[in-house]
Amino acid sequence: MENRYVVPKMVDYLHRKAGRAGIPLAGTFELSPLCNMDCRMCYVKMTPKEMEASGGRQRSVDEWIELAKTAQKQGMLFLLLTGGEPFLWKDFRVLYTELKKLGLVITINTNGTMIDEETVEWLKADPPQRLNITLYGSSDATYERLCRNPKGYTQTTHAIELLLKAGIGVKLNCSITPYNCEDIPDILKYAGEHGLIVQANSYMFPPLRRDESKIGMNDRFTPEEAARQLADVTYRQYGREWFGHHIEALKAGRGAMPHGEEDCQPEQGEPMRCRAGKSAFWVTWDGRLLACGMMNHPVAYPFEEGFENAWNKIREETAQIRLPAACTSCDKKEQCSICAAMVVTETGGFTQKPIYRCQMQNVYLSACEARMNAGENGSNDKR
Amino acid sequence: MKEKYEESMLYYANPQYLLREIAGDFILVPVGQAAVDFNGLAAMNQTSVWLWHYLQSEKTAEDIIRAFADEYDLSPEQSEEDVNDFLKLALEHGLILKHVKG
Repeated sequence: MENRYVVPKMVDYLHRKAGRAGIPLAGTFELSPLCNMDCRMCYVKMTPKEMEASGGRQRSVDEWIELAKTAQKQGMLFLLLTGGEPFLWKDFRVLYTELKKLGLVITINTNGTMIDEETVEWLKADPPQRLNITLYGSSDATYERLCRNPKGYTQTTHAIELLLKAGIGVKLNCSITPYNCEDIPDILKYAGEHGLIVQANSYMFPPLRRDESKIGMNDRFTPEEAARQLADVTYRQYGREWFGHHIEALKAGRGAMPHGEEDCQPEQGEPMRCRAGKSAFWVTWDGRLLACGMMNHPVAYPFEEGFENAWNKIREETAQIRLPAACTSCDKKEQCSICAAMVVTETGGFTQKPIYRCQMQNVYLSACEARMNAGENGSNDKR
Repeated sequence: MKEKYEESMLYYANPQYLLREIAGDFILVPVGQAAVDFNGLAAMNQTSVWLWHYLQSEKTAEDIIRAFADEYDLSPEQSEEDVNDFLKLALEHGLILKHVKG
């Protein structure tokens, strides 16, 4: 079984063209930091009290609509709605309906737990391109352990099945952590049985967005274990034959550790190798425009200074970012899928190499070889 | 035998697709039921875009062939062939809709 996510060629083509022309093709609106779950590794979640204490203000539906109209005029075609949990945001339906009228290709990041029969009926009338649903485990017990929601698995899988029945596109995201790694085979099995693509990752960014003191820290695997888990899920997802080619490519210096989200696709030969700040942007719940949702800088303020000015500022400042010299000269740089957000969240700046990622990269090939040798009997228990 | 347009029909652009110009490219984005039937994007070339604009109101195939020939300075035969090809493909994908005249 192979259920790999492939970026459509047209999307890739448009991003390359938009990047050259400075067009903000893909945006993310992070509507709220509030969530009905409480996942241990989350980079953004706040309680209402924490949100209040942060001094930030959630933006109104009219502010988001106005921002979307301006960004659409500048060329925004793809829009990801995220949170927190977007379905928890009180004006979500009003906003979504208005955004659809702008000819945007909308994707929604959700934990799925709030999607019931009535929500699906509503979505079905004008569906998004896709819902990205994070499946955190294969049982309610895992959801309780990782997300502090004892009914999470039942709620999420119910939502997935309703959406699929309604013909609405779903992709699964899977964050592999010490709290759910034993569930990965069952998560992949569930995805296979429902014909779903899974985008899985064992690397968790330090949550600097939520707490700037957390440089290089998260409730996560050791780098060696993260590499082993990534090798394991890659083997299980893509199959033995593909995995064999992957190992050969790694040995020849051609392959790379699988990496993140759609807008993280590498663009070789530029100081920052992804789409962030070139053709993609992120607006936080409290109204900051960022190149990437994982980094607090560069930052601009579109609600105050206007979207066009803010976007131009982000583009200019992103273009100045340089990865650490140690990364530029590293003989493994093409294999480690390093990005600016990893550097800044692991080290607090752009001058030092992100040791956690280096350690992960250093053992990834041997982890792949060990996984290949273990064959079908390989275990993904944590060590 | 080459498929031909139907003389008894009126053709029009499916209102459940929105045309966007992105970095000089033209893209149709599905909304509503079209987004259920077609989960993707349709790229349009320049002549398709012209036809798309022209078909914002209902037209007979004869209207389309005549107007397309005028716009692109084509012989009636060439225009008919091009319009036939466009209608066949666009109808097949639900980008253009049709109904019986009257």
